[in-house]
Amino acid sequence: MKTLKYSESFVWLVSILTFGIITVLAGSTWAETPKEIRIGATVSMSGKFSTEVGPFKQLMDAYAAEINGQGGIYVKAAGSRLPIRFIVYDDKSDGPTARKFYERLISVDKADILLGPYSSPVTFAASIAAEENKVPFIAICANSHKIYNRGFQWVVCVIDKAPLYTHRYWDMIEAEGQAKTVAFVVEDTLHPKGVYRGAKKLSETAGLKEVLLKVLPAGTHDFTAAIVKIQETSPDIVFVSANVPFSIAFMRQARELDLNPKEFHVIHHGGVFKKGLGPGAEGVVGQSYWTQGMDYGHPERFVAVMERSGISLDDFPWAPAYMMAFEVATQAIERAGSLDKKKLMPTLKKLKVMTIGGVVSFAENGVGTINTYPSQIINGKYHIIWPSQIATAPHRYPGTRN
Amino acid sequence: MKIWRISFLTVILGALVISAAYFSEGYLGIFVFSLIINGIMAVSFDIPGRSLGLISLGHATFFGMGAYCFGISITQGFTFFPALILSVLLSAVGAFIITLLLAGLGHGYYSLATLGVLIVFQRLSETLESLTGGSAGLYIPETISKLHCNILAAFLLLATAAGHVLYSRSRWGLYSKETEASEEAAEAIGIPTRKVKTASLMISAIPASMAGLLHLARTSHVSPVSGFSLTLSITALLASRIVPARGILGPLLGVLLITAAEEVIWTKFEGFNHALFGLILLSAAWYQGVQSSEAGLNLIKKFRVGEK
Amino acid sequence: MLNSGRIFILTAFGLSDVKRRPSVIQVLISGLFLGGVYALLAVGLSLAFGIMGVLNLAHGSLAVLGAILYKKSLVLHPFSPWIFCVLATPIFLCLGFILHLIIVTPFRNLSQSEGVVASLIASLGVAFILEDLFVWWQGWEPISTYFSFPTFNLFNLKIPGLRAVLMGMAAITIGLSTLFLKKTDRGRSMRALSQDQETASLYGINPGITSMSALGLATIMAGLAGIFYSVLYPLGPRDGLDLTLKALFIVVAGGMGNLRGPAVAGLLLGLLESFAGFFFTYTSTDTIVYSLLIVYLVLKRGRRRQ
Repeated sequence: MKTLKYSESFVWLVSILTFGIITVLAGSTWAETPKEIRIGATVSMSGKFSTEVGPFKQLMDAYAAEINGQGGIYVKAAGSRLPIRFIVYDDKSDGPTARKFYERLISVDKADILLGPYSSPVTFAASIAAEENKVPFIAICANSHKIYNRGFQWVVCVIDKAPLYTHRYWDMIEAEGQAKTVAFVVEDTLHPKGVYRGAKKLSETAGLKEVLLKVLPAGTHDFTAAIVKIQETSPDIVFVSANVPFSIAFMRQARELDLNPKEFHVIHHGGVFKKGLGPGAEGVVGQSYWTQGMDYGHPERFVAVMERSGISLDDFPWAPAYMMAFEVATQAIERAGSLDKKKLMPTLKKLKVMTIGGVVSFAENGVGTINTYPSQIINGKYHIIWPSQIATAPHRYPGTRN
Repeated sequence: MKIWRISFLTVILGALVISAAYFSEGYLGIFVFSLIINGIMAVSFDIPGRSLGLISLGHATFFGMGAYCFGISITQGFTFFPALILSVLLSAVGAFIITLLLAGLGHGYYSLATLGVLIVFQRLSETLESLTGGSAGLYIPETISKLHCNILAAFLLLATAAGHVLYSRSRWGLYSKETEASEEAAEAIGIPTRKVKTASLMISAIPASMAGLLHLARTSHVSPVSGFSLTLSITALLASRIVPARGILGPLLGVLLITAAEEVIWTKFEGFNHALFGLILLSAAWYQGVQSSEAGLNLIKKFRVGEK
Repeated sequence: MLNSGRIFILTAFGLSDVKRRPSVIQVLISGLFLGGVYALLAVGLSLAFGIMGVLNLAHGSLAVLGAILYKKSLVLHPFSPWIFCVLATPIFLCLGFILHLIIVTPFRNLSQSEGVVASLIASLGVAFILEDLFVWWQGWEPISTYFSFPTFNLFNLKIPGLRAVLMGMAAITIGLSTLFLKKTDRGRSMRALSQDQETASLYGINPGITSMSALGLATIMAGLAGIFYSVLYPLGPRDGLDLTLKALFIVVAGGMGNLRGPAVAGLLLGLLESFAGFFFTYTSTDTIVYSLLIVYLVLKRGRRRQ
């Protein structure tokens, strides 16, 4: 056995390297702002949310290419159109990392406006940096009330608060008047719990009785106990408020154990869910921000951006929400006519703009208006089923059974 | 200790203290602060890690305990210093119970039990929502300025480093080394091995819990995943072991190396960040392997400067 | 006496309530099926640690690789998971050999404790590298392979055929590995090496080749576990380290360096996870499972043992 040895030179090398990096970092904070609009964001390229939004830097770059192809955004104070550039870091699906990078986006990269990270827990931490430094921050997929109950003035969110996430679905159920009972299966994380809290109230308003509630941890692998208890209560609707991996695992086992309610509602039933379930996904209802055939705003631009980014909407159903945030940021800058944050933020808060998902405006606490539409997988395709003005197919109830 | 090592240590620690005081705002402020916090975690991890060979995969348990005790105290209306004292006391009691339970375990089992404790605390902080804020975590208003927080953290690092040096040179440090070599033999010559382990683990736990509460005071937010963080535990382990230097220099240089590498990789490279970081880990491990082989030793000797 | 014991067991597991009996048995079956996958995942890790003293943190990443290979193979041909397992075995064996050259061979001259830490850091490095390669190769979306298989009704119980077959295959894999270790020369060499490397070398056992074979076998098990896992649950390309941690815990509960202990511990963990959700609230499942494991470790294991 030999003992480890080390050399003085190695120790010096490590130290010089580190202090060199710190010096470079210190230097980079004094960099001048060039003639461009800098939009800062973090994307969960690693960590647990990477399967949901991992490639979205490509989406941002594709949007920038589209806008810059038209000459950029007109900024009155600059007297010309300025190109946009997204500066993006990997937040590792982690709040403190996101917070650190938003500080960097603000003080090193001098971002003019910030787009939020994915998910409520990460946004909860990241938005503190924006508020402390007074930089406009547009949250995207983060609708937990806890984020907006803190009295922050520099944070707005494109989408509506979590409890209203499924309100159109319950409107439909009430109008149809067929379902009477519901069982809830809820993943124990921020967003699904928020959605559940709203769905519970909305379902009661729609005249349904909650016969069972099962709150399960995010990493649950075996759902048999929950499924046998649901079978004992025979609900009309099984409402699964959960993220995609959880939903796939639950639905697979529900199909295997022959759980047959009249309807499964799985809030996130995107393409990964559909592929993972195969024929078992048929008839499942869920929520969508956008599907082919919806005609608000500029859907053709969205389609072009998606094509350019190489991202499939089926696999990444959050892409429309990100697109709406891009549209909001663009409109806010154009209408403020300036990159001065003190002018940008009031304009943003008063903004009323048509996006691909409908009209976006913000409440006093920053919460937005965009909501999802109930959609159903019918013959392997997604169809909006309510409201009737934009529905692409009628609601199939009961859904196709196993 | 050689003169160059003492002067080197003084330079590193002095630079960190000055940086903490000079850069308290903006990104650089956060960078320096996280460097110091990682330093406290790595040095405190190294106390039982180096002397007793105990590898904890749950060192951040104490970090999370400190943060949550502090956060809950603040939400209950305490001001900074009473909350600080209360949370240090509560964390110390918690740490004492944990170390008392785990001190009897063998090396591999100790590592995994510490990981288990970390996960249990993570789940508890998610479940006790009314107290801890659940999975969203706790948000507290600013209780102390960023500058003061940075300075306190820097002094905590100095104190932890001093604790490391004093412990390893004390009677208890020698007891620890004997215990690591052979617990049976140590007991045969009258060393109270259980007490030695408990003492070492407590000395390691208290700075970690204080780092947690300072982190919360600086960042205003702690969540189950960021408080009882496996990443933080693994970073402490890596920092403590990645640079094959003896004594306090090992963890300090390890922290500098890892934090700097992460900074460069995650801000200057697009894509393959994890792979690059992985390559650094592999290279560091291989460097140790090469040093241990005859051929490697001969090669390194050729490049060494001033070795006697 | 026997009767009172029977009543106790029936009451403890909720089986005294005749109406609940099928539900409880259903949960028991599911717990066993889940435990089978856990067991297969953990046994490979235990083998590597027992024979080489290597805590291979890339073990879970190898399982993810198995899942990706299976998913990719489905583009070429709709293989069943079991057919693909047979086809993939030589690939995993070779990967194990390569991994040995990266995380074991360079540290053979280090002391045992230094070697463990060095190989741990190296294997963590490999896990990080593999994560990025997986994303680059297969994309960000979860690996979720759909395979249709019927559910059988047996005495009013639902037996998911796919889970039952996978459980059977996990048992066969562990059984064959046990036979290999007990009945073949190479297997006996591995066991000798795990007990005393120096003495084993004196008897002419080549430590390099033997430990390489052990890591090959461990890699096969990781790969197969990944294939099974992805058929049942979606697996992210970056989920490798999570899987490793799960396996590590099972290994510690069951004992390092043997196959039977982790296999039993894996089954028990599956059962615990299922029953905790049945008798308690689901949210407390992890807390209960990990608290029990800690208590078990403190009471039964680890005291002066390594």
